[in-house]
Amino acid sequence: MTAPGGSGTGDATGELAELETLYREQYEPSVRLAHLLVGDRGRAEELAQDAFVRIAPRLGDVDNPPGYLRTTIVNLCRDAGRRTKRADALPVPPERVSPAPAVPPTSTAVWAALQGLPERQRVAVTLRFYLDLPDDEIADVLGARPATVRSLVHRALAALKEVVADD
Amino acid sequence: MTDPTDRPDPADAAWFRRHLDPVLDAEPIADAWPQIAARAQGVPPAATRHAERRWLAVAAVLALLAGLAVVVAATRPDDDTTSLQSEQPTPTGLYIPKGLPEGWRLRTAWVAKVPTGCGVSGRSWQRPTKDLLTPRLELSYVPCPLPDHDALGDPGPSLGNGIDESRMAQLEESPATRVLQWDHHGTWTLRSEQGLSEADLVGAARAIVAAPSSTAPPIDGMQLTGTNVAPGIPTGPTLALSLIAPDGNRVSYHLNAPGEGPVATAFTVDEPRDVPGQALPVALRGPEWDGVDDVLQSSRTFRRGTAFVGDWPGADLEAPRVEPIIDDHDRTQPQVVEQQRGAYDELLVQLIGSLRPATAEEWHAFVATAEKVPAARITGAADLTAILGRGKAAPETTPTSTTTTTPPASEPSGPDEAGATRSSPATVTPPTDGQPRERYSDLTGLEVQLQLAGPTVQAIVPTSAVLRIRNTTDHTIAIGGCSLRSLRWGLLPRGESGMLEQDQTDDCQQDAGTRLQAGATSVVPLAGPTSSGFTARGLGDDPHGPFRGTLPGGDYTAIAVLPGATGDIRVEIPVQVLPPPCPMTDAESDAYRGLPTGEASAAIRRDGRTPTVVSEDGVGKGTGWDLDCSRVRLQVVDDEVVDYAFG
Repeated sequence: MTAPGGSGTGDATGELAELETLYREQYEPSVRLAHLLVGDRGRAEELAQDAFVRIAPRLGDVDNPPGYLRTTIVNLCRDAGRRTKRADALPVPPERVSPAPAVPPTSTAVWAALQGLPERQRVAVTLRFYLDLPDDEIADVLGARPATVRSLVHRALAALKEVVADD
Repeated sequence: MTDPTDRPDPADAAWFRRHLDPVLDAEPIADAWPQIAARAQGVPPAATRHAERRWLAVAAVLALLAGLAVVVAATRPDDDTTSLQSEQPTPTGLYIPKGLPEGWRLRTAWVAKVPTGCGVSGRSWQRPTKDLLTPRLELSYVPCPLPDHDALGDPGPSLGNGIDESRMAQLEESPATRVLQWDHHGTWTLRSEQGLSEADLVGAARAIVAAPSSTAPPIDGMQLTGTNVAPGIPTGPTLALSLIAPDGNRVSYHLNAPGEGPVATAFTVDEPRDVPGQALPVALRGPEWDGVDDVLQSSRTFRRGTAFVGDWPGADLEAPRVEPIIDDHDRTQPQVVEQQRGAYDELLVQLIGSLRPATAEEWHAFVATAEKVPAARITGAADLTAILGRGKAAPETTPTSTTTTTPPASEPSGPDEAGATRSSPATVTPPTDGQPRERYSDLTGLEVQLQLAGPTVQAIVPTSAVLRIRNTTDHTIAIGGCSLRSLRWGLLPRGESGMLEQDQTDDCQQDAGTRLQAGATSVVPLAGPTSSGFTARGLGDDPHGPFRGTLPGGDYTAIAVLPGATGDIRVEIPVQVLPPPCPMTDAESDAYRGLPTGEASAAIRRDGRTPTVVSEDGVGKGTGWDLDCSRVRLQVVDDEVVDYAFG
C-alpha cells in the first residue's frame, strides 16, 4: 500500500507539482467557499486543506481538477455539517458564527442568515451566486433536480433578503 | 423576487457578494502549502491548538474515507512527525494505556451488545415555597417518537426555533397537571404541576426549545432539582475494558466502531477538555454545567449522564464518569462510592491521557495480561472491527500485525450466519477485451463468495449481503480502494441479461484498500451511498440516483461484481423476490420527489393518499409499517422529499 501522493518518486514529484499549481490557483477561493458553507474560518481552512489532500492522488485522472476540488469541498463541508448537526439537535444559533465586529451590520445580518439556512439551501445559493454555477451543475453537486435547485435558491435568497429590508 | 422557475436575476449575485465579501475578506488566508504538501505525502496532520476543530476535520475525513487506508494517525506533540513517510498503517481502532504508573492492571475486556430501548433524559425544577403544594416542572426527552404520542391532547402552540407544532393536554385525573409535548429529533414532554398556569407551561417550553441543553430554569425563580441525562446510546456493540488502579478502583473505557459510539442528544453538550498526555481530542459530554451546583454535579444521576468522549481514528471513545462494577455475568452496574468520586475522576483522566493507538501485536500483548481472560474473539483480533463484528476485518486465520480494511461506520455488519445463503466460490474472469485496467487491483488468487441474510428479497426491508473474499495464495494480496469501492451489485430476473444495479460508487482511492494475508478472509458489506444490501426496487439510468418502482415478484439472481485489473470476479445467488405488498410504478416513484414537504403532502392528498413523514434530516421517527398502501412514507431532508415508499 502506498500513501497518497503516488507510488513512485517520479510520479510523486509530478503529482505534487500539479497539486501545488492547483493550490496556487484555487486555495483562497476554496477557503472562501468553505467559509461560506460552514461559517467558521478555521474549519473552512482545515476542510479546504483536507480537500486538497484528498484529491491529490487523483489529479491525474480527472478532467477538471478545479471542478473536482469544488465538489470535494462541498461534500466535505456538508459532511462536517452533518457531524455537527448530530451533536446539535437544534439549529446553531447565528451568534456562534457571527463575523468580526468590523464587518458592516448588514453583512453580519446576511452572514448570520446564510448560516441559519438549511444546508441544501445554503449550498445551492452559494454555488449559484458565489460561484455562478448553472442550475444543472448545482443539481449534480446536490444530487437533486434542476427544478429543485431553482426552488432552493429562490427560498434561500428570499430568506437572505428578508434580513435586509431596505436593500 | 424572481419566480422560482426562472433563472435568478444576475443582480442577485452582485447583492450576494456585496454583502458577504466583507465577511470573507475580514481575515487574511494564511499559506497552507507546507501542511498540504506534507499531508499529501503521507504525514498525518499534527494535533493543533484547536483540538475541537481538528476533531471535526478528522471526523469529516474519516466519514468520507473510512473503509480505505485513511492516512490519519494519532500523534503526540513530542512525536517526530516531520520526516515524510511513504506508508501509514490503517488505524486498528484499538487503544491501550501506555506509560501508566506501576500498579495499574487490566482486569478484563468484553463486548457489550447494543442496549435496547430509546433512553430517557429528564430534568425537574421546583419553585421554593413554604406551601404544601410546590410548583413543579418536569421535562423528559426520548430520542425517538413515543408510540402513542398522537393520542396526547389537543394541538398546542408554536414554540419557536422551528418547532411549529406541539400537543397539549390537561390531565382529567389531576386538573392541576398540564402536559405539553413536541417533536424534535425525538419526543419532548414538559409537565407542570401545582400552581403553574398554561402560560407558564408554554413559556417554559419556549425557553427549553430555545436552549435545550441548558440547565437554567425555564421559569424565573425555579431551581433545578433533578437531572437524568443519558449521554447517548451506542448504535453498535461496544468493546469495554476494565482496569484496576493502584488504589483498587476499577476504571473503564469503551471503544465503538467509528460513528457508533453514544450519540449526543439534544440534552447534551460536548465541552472540549485538555487531558494531560493526550493529543487526540477529548470532550466531556453532559448537560451544561452552568447553573448546576456542586452537590448536583456530584450526584449519581448527574454523573451517570456524563462521560469523556473522543472521535478518534478508527474508534469512538467513551469513558463514563461512573465506574462500572462487573458482576459475575460481566454486566456493568453503575455504582459510585461518595468519597471516591474525586479520586475516580483523577484516575479516569490519567487513564484517558495514557491511551495510545495499538498495533495488533501490542493489543495481543496487552489483553494477554488480563486477570480474567477475555473471549478469544477479543484476544486474537487484529482490529476493533473484528472484535465488534462490524464489517470486513475478520481474519479467519491466526491474526498477525497486518491490518485489514475498516468499513465505513455506517455500513452494516454482515448478515447473520443463521439462515444465510452463500454462493459458490468464484475467481477472476478475464475481461472480454483483454485490456488491463489501471485503477484496479489484480484479483488473481482471490476466491469470492456472495452471502445474503436469506433467500428472499423484498421491496421494503433490504436483504443485507456481504462478499467474503479469501486469499487462496501463500502471500499477502493488496486489494486497492478502487476495486473495493467500485463493487457493483444488483438483481437480475432469472433468464434475462444485464443487471439491475442496486448501487455502485466510483469514488475510489487508488492506493488505499486492504491487505489480505495468506489464507485470510475479508468480509465486505455491500453498502453504498444509496442502498445497503439488496432490495426489490429498480434504479434508473443513474446508479447513484433514487430507487424507482417496485420489482414484480418472481425468480431473480442476486449478483455482485468485484472489478479487477485483469478481470472481474462475479458471484451469483438465486433469490426469490417477494411480490410487493404495495406496488409502486416508476412514474409513481418520481411523483413527489424533490417537492417541499407541504407541496408533496398536498399532492399526495389530491391523489387520495395519506402522507406520513417517517424521517426528517436523516433522523427516523420510528413509524412502523402498517402496509396500508394508501400511506406514503416520506423521507424529508431540509423540508424536501428525498425518497418515499408506500405502506
